Amino acid sequence: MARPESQAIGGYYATPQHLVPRIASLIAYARGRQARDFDLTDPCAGDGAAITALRDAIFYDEESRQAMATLHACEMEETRHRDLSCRQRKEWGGWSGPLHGDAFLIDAVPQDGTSLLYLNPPYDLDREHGRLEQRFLARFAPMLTMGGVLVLVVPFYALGASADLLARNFPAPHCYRFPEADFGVFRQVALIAARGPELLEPDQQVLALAHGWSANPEAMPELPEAGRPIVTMPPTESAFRRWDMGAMDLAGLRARFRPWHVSDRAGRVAPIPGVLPAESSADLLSRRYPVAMPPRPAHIAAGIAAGVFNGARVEPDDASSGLPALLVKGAFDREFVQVDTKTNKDGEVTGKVEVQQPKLVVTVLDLRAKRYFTLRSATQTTGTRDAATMTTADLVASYGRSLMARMLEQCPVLHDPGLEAHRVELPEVARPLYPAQREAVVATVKLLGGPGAGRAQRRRKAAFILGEIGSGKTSVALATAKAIDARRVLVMVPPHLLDGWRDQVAAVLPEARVSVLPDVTAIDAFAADEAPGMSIGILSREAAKLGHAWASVGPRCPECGDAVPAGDLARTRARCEATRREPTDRIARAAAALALELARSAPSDPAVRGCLRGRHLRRALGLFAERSPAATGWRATPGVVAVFRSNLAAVLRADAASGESIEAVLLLGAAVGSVAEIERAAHRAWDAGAADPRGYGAGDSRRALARRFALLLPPDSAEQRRLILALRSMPQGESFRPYGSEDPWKSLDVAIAATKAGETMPWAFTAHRSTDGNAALGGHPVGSLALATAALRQISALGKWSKSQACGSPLFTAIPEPRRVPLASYVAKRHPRLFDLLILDEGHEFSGEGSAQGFAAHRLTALGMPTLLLTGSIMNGYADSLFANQWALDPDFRAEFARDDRGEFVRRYGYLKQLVEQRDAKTGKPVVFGSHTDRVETSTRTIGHAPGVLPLFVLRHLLRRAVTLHKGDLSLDLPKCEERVANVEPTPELAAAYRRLQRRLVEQIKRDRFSSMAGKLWGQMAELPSYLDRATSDVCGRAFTIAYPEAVGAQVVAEEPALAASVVLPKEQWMIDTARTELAEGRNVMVLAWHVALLPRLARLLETALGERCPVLDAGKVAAGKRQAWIDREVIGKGRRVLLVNPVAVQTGLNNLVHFSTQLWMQNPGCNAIVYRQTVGRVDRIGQKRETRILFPVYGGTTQETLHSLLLHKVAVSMSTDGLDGESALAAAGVGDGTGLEAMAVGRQLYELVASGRGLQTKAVA
Amino acid sequence: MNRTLVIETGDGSKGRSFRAQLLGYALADHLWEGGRADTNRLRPAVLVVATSEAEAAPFLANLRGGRKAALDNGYQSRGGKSFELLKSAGYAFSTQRFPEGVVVTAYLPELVRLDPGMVDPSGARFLLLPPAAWVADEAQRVDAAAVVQHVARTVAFDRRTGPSLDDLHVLLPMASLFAAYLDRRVRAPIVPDVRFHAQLLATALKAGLASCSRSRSWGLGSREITEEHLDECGFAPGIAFQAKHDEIEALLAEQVDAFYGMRRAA
Repeated sequence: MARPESQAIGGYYATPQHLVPRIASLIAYARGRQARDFDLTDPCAGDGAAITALRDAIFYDEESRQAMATLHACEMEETRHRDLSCRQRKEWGGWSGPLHGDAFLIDAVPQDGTSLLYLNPPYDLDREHGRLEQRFLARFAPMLTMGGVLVLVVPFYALGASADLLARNFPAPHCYRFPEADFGVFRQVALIAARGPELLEPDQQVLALAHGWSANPEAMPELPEAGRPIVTMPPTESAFRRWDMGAMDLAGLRARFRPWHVSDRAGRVAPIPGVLPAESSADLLSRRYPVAMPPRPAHIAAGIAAGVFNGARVEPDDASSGLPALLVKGAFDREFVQVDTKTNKDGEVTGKVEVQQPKLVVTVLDLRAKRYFTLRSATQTTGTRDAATMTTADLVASYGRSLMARMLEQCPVLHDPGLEAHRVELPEVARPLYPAQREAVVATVKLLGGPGAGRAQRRRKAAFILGEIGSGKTSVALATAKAIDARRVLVMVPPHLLDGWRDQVAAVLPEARVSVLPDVTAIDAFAADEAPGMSIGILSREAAKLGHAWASVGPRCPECGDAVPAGDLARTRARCEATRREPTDRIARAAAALALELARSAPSDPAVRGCLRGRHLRRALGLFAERSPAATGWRATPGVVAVFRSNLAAVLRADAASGESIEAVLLLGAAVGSVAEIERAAHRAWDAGAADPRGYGAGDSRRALARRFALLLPPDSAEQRRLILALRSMPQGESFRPYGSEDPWKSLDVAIAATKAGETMPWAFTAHRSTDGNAALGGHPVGSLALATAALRQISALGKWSKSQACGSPLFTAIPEPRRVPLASYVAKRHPRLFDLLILDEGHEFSGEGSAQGFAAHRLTALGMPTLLLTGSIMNGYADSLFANQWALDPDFRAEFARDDRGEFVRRYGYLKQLVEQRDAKTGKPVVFGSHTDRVETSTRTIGHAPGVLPLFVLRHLLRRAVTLHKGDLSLDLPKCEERVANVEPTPELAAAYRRLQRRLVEQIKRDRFSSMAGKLWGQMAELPSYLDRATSDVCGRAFTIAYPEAVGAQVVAEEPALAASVVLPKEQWMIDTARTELAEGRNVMVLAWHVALLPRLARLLETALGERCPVLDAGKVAAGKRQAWIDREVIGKGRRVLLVNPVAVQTGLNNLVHFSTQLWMQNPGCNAIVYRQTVGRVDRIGQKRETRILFPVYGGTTQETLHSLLLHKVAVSMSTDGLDGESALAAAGVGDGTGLEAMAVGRQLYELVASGRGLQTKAVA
Repeated sequence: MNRTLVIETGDGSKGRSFRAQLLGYALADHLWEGGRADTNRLRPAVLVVATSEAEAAPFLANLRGGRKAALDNGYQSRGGKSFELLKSAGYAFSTQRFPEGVVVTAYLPELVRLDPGMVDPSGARFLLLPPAAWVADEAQRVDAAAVVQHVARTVAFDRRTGPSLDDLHVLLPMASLFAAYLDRRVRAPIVPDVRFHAQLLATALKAGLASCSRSRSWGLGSREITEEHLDECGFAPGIAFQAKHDEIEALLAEQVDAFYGMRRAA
């Protein structure tokens, strides 16, 4: 697709003028007495340069004077059409038109047809024809007379779209690649062919030829410099009966136009989503949201917010309660709440940081009192019987049944396990499914088109399996594969889950063949396997995404030809920053013209490169420089002579030409070097001075110039003497000269004598004799390239130039090392229809914007095979994490959002953070907030996202395609899971040290606020709470140090000497005591810490206290794919009861951690809700025999407590999307008070707390 | 009448110009900030133009880029009426392609979409511009006589300042759609009854909170909606609505009372 900027100017790629003679050399015209009239047609003529040049080049010889070539041209753009019309008026020959307007509106009725069709249309995609070039060809090829010549100038890859038409109408096409320098610019080729009778079936040979050209331009020859004619243009009596611009049929357009509709890719007209109501007016007030499985009670909150109950009459659950019937309406206000301020150096507020917070406003119409009431927002019930004092929680509690019934009515369920009619028989799998899993399989099968559906019916169907960690998502997915009779299944998983998936398949579908697909050979072998039964290919996420490496480009930018900077350009993904100069006045344009003339001879000369117009010319220069060294034996081209003449004329025209411009003309004349040209220039200069006979001023300086031209001839040569004689014989002007000036002829004699002797002259440019007796200027012989480039420098310096934007071309390129193919791309390209089902495990990992694994996964989903996306936590707390997967798998979602609408999605369903400032209207600078004057403008700028998603998204999009599976549904008596926070008091020494660090850090952040270091310490602020856990010397070294990042100097801000390694910190003592108690109860313990350096110390303390080995799982030493086996061998196999590990290392894919039933979270996992939920799910899952305990010690009254609250809030938001928890869902829907803290980066947030004094006044620390 | 729109880029030999035919437009300046600006260019809420296939891309690219499109009056300097689609206003564009050419509709989605996604704390505003065909279908479904009878009993009409009962017949099929647009922009529940919807629309028009493009008497001062030739493109009369929440809530409370009062009496 052409760029918008190019589209806006109707940009097109003109045929290079110097190539037109080459094209013309391949075309002859029919000769003879009868062959007198020819018609040439160009429907995209631009300014007509190409078609007229082509005509002139074809009809060039004596005989052509007898021929009459008529041009039929059309141009859509007005300015270009004006130029075309000017050309028509100036040029010889007949013209028809030229027409102004869209070529597709030309009302052309062929009579004989045109002799030649020249077609260089815009290059772009076309919905109907594939390429716009083909649309033009299909429209105008029928205008050719039989045997008429088609000249099609297009990029090579566009030929594929035209292959069929060419193969039916042009029996022997020839195609030529433009010469290297031109081909590199737009990849153009010239196809030349004579029209033949139309074939019913395309000529297979031509078809293959055209497809071959479109795939590989190397297969075609280069456009020859002077080729022999390959086609002959036939004469025509009269090409067209009519050749006029037709009018648009506006009445027809109006008749066909349908308000609020849009054409889709297939050309069908479909309603614009969201504008035209799909329902009749009777249904407009109520909202229907189809869902895959019955909504859960926790979704009532989402239902209220999504408008499911709008206008519905709800009755109290208890008819005797005395509560009235209500009309209920939930609406969202996303109000901006201030969470921060920006201050200037005087501490005055200059801006406010605000975050959007959801606020669910529930309004009821009391149908008894006929009055509206807005319910108070609360998650706790009050037991009131009066609508006026009711809370949101009261509504759910007292009207729950009626609300749920309405919800079920408004949310039609695809699969309701409670309905007999919905039941479906499933094939058995080796590991029996729990009833809830079985229902999930049925719902999934229905989402994929239903049982017994064919491959075509399942195309583009998808389901999300939102299974709580440990609820058996893998079993559901495999059972689904069997139920839909998938023969070949592709599973894309994180690398450490390859073995786990193999084991799962063996357990659930032992009859299926399983292969890990590490490379293309394995995929090809998998494809070649024709044995009956199911085959499952497991593809590592890494193998799917990783391809070749990248390297820096060569010494020059491939786009503009400028030298590239040193360094590893591939690593930094550098782009060319070269700018080019654009001439803005006559002198600069002359320099550009001269540079173009010198380009082939001096391609590396900086002056030449700097003066060239357009990056493509400069790129061509780069190629010249690399392949052909500067020419020797240079001679001035006619172009250089033309530039010399035009510059001379300009200098002679000027009333007071500057010395620099006169010197430039002299240099250029010297570069031309031709005696005849120099003589002519001298005479012109003398003649130009004739009007001013004074011995000074313009006339005198022109005569002086004439004399200086004489100096360019070989000193004392016959030519020089002849010229001087001629000049002296002409009118000499007045003899009066200003005081001090010498007789110019005497000076000339002196100069000639001096140059003959090789002496330096006191003029700006010095002529002196060279060794071979010829004249030279500035050390360079007359007629040399060096003089030409010197002249170019001089002229260039005199001209006015503007600077363009940077080139921006990538300075890195793909290389075939290592020989690796991204397997997702390989499957998409080579085996797009191989698989019957795609399973994406840990699907939330594919949602990152611009991530390689996301691209790989979505390349596979784009193939249209039915897809299952498995995840335990689909959302990371922020709405934008939902976009990529939803867009890839949900056609309804795609109807609402375009691929690049992530920002719009967040605006509609997520929450934003904004900065509100007041700025001086004149200077644009921020002013003190609230000091309103007439000259102040308020500016609002979005500066990021805040956590949360509108419940409307959950109902409208997610639940429609999501099958939720909770452990609670499995009815398997899964042991209870208890999560508990333990408040631990720090020792006075530890608390004091922590406060000192905190104070110094906060002070430094305050000092930095208006310097370049502002914000550089947020990372350290976020790390500060970990001091309380890392204060000992075996963890932090000699001292615990707070410093700036290394990138800005690593300057130390605060330091506290480390405590002795032998000191046992209070939380550590708590850990030892708790572990001892838990072990005594027979409960194995996982100890989790965020800082890896802390793990060995904790292990040592535990080993010392417990007297047994406590292994540490080091993620750096045990690769992800080997962790399950390592735990089996080193922990479970050896009967270890305690394991220490970073939660990130065990968050996914490990199914053997049910060996443990207690988790001690010694540190907060960076407030990452997904890491927390996933890691807890490793122990609280199927297979767990004991009650699980998740224990979280924090130092009371410190920022560790705040961080823990933030973590829990994010977990609640994340869980609300799955409908796991009613209270979370109410909170996520905006019920209750929001603090707004979650919207801030952790470090900054802590700073705010501490700076406001809240963090320093905590009793525990004090 | 000449309805050729010309967009020009740059001047002189580098300047380019592209043409399209103006099919119709609606102005609802009071509904959005860009419309309220003091400018002599027209900033339509909805604009419908037709172009040829090849000219569609450059014309649309320039329109998206915020360049003004002037009605061609035959002079070089194009001094006539001109349209401007502010880039910052977030216009949406939809294209319909036919053998005769391309029709582009540019519109302000936040005004035109049925569901804006959330309630705007500052109030409710929207532009209702349904297709005439949709309205005709709706007219078949509504028991017009009963509804008009209800409205006649609950709303006091004055031909000089508001819609007449006859006028209401035209708008009646749009009443529920009007209620649906309003419902998505306010917090209070709306009684799901077409009689209530018609009563609400009539009262809103009468109170000047809403205005209709096809009757001078319904457009009140600054809250006026202007519409040109959209009926030729198949659009029904447009209704613009703008009010603050307290105004709307007062209106709703009053109308609920009147509605149930009338039902009790009946």
